[in-house]
Amino acid sequence: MSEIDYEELIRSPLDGIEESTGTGWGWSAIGLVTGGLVGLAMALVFGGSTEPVVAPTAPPSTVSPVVADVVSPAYPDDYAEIAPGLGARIGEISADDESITVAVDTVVERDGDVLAPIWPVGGTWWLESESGAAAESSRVVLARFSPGVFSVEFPVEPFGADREFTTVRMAERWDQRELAGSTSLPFTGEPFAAAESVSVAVDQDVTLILPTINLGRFLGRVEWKLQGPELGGSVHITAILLDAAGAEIGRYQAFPDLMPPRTEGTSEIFWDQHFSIDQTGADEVVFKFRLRIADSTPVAISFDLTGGAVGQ
Amino acid sequence: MNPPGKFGIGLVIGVVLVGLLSLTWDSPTAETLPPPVATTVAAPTEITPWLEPGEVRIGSAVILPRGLEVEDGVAVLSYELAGLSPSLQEQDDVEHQGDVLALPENWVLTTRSGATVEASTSPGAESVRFDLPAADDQVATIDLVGWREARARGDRVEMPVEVGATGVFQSGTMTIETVLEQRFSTIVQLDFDETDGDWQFPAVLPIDDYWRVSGRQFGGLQLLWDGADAPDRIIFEDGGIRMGPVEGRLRVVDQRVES
Repeated sequence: MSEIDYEELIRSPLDGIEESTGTGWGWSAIGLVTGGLVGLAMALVFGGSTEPVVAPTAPPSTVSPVVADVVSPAYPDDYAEIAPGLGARIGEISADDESITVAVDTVVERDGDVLAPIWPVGGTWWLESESGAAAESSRVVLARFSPGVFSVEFPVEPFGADREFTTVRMAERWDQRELAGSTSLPFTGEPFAAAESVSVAVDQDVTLILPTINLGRFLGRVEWKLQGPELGGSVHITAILLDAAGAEIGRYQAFPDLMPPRTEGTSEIFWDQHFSIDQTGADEVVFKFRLRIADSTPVAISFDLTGGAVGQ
Repeated sequence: MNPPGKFGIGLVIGVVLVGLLSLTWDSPTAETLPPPVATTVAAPTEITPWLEPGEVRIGSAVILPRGLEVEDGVAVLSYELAGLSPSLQEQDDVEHQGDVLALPENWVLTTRSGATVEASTSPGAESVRFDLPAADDQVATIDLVGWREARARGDRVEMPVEVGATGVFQSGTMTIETVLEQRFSTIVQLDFDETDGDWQFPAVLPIDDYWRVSGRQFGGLQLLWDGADAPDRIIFEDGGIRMGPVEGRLRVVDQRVES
């Protein structure tokens, strides 16, 4: 057997070809350049863009249509808010030998409810003058049928002859918290008088007591007391006569007015049918109460009084 | 190493090098622009006027002009009043439903020829009349130059329950005319003589509301005390309002012809 020439088998056809007489790394350089070009081509295809690139450090410019900011003031220019939904303005300041009176008028905020009891029913104010004198209010005067105006009285003594007032401040506001309740009694015909005092727990801390109830032909009178609230409040009473089926025959109601908060009072109510006082068939009277309890709220609302000379 | 091998090595190295370098740039052919200037356009602030065009505010009330008639040398401006204040009662017809607590009083009309005419209105008026200097005068402007604004009164006076007793309030004088002491009640009749009537609306009433009020309140008052224990003194308070004068100048009508 002949011997296999393994070297011959694995010999490359390029073997024996003389190498170039150069260093031989020129091919490496060519490869390097070629690789660079290939790599570059790949970068262009798979990454990068020919579009201009904006540096990501600023937001794009805004060219959308501009919508005006619409501001709807809640009150006219010369009014400032003194209670939620109520603006106020200081009016005339007058003085006599006994007191200095600051007049205040109010407006309800735009689109507000003029019947909502948002007006303050008292509180504490301070009046200050240019000389540095100051006085706490002695009284807040309500207009009995016009909740939109009130006056604040101050003592004269702290100011002497000084009438150059600089500031009036509200430090405490008496707000109104509304509660409602009802009770009923058998109606035995007019003149009607409740046999005994009636007590109604209107809220967890408010009890309404009616010591006497009298209903006459045209008029009714109901005495009331409030237990619980320190400042008291006001009580508005309506007495409704119902027949046996629960249908209303008529009612006594109070004329709306505004009184300072109290812990007791008397409510006069009037039969609402001017020319008919027929109460035939009434066997129940329902008393509905609307209470407005005064609650004290500390505030810090200041009005600058410029040109403070006072007219007397 | 044979040439192909050297070529291959160079190829690989070239690709890797370019690949690494490409991580540090966006594109060798992209144009990098500078960041733009933020061009936020500030939106204008539009303030919604409190009133409709033509409405004129005096304090907490609004004058709503309704019409101007000029005929035979007489100009009549009609208007309504509406309130912005809180109220105890629901109003009916006008747009602003609050209490009216300011009233117009003094007006000045200027004709196109430059003449001025003054006029006044009282509480409850719904029009103002001007007598023009000439029958063919035309109205240029009408201004309100004086009005009245409400002020709460609040003065208190204590009076003995006896015939002839008087109490002086800012709005008038109260006099006890009659005292009827009955077995289970007391009746007191009083007269109230108002001062400066047009621009005040007094409401002189006892502070103690156990006194039942009956009879006319303006010009006369009757009080009833149920029981035999009527007090010998009564404290009254004027819970009404007076309309204090205010001067100013508010344009109500402008019919000037633009030149």
